[in-house]
Amino acid sequence: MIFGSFHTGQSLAKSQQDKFYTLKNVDAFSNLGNAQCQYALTSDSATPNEDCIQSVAPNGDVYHFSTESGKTWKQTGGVYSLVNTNANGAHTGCSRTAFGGYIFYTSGTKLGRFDLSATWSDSWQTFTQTPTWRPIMELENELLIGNGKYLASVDSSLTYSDNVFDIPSQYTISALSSAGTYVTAGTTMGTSIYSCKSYLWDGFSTSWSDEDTIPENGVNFFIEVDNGTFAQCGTNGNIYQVNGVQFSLYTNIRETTSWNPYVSSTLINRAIFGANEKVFVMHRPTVSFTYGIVNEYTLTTGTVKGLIASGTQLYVSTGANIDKIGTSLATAVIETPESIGNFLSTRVLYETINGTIGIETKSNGGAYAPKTTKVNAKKNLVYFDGRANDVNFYQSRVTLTPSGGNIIIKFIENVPSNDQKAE
Amino acid sequence: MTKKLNNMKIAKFNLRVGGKLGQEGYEQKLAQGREYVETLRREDKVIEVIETPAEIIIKMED
Repeated sequence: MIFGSFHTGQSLAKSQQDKFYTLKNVDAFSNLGNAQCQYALTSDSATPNEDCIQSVAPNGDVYHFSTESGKTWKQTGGVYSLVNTNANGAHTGCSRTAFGGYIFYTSGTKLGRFDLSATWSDSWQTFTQTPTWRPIMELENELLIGNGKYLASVDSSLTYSDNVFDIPSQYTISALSSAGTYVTAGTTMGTSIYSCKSYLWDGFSTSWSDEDTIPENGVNFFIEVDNGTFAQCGTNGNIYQVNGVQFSLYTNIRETTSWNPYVSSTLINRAIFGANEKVFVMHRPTVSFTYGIVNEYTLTTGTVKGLIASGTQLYVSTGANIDKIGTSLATAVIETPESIGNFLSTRVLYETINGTIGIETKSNGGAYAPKTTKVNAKKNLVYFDGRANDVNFYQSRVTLTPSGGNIIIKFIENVPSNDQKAE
Repeated sequence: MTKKLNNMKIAKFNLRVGGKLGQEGYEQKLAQGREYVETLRREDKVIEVIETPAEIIIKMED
């Protein structure tokens, strides 16, 4: 069994043969078809050491709004400074960038705005509703803000409206996206209720145009790709494909439990989002490919509380610091699917090897056993002596440990035995 | 006529009732809008309140 095309991303389960069980710290899209080590995250600043959500100013400055307190830090040129303490307390939302010359942010019943210079108006407007989170997005030159059962807006004249759209009062708007000029509002009824809805609104009618029921306890955030939208819903890593208003379960990201709002962004032209200690890229090279999800980055500490891209850099709030993409390559780990049959060994074909390639194998569901690898530089192969015995199913884990450059591999082969036993 | 202020901000409360939200009738929404005006009177410097069948417009000092 030969496993290449790493851009297909990670699988739902080890039995899925057309994707990889694990792709950790792997860059699978820069060198299409191949896998290489991704740059490691590094701590950019020990403060803010609170959970933060982010907004990027047009000049690239990043504002980190604490969701634990009223504090806001500004990051410019790698320097962090406390620039505001909101008297209304912990933040519940922020615009991801400026609108009408301001960055908008929310706390309690207040909508604040910052003029991108020095003036912070924490209580610029007042909401009627007090949801836990307020998603914010711009559509048709209007800033739309989740306001519980209402959608609030700020228009281009900076006139505030508390309720341009309303949904049934048992629902709270928890995430916002768009389908053309239509608004897609994701909702929640509470963490204990595993049923929520999405509403499609045309932007001017008194009621919504369409709706869909989602068997989850809430829509946490949308993942925006070119001419497409996905949504993360619930607590167990489910990713839905969104077609206007209809949510269809697309995939699941295993071993993730800590999902928050404000953890998705676009890094250059790739959708990026995070959960637990992992940051994922969701991307397809062109429309003729399917989307692959790859765990490209791992936090230095904590879990993803908020993230945003500014230019070609990524900033992640971990609750304990701010991480960014560093200049050192990370150690990458790739697990193949579980192959059914009798297998002898594993070999890895590489293009470039600056460092070491480690191989571990697992037979019949046991624990991984490390192998002593050898390099055949003439054939660009890494392999190990000896053979596995009496195998009915087999899995390989390959570790790329870079040193003085990157490691690029083309495929991993679980080498089958000609002796396929009947018992 | 209200003197136009450069440092004025405007908030609106929509009184329209969607056909799919019959449970939240006009009177209920009007009452909520008026309660919102009272909140703003306590927390902001309200200059003028304009109530139309479609919305309540509140002009305040910014």
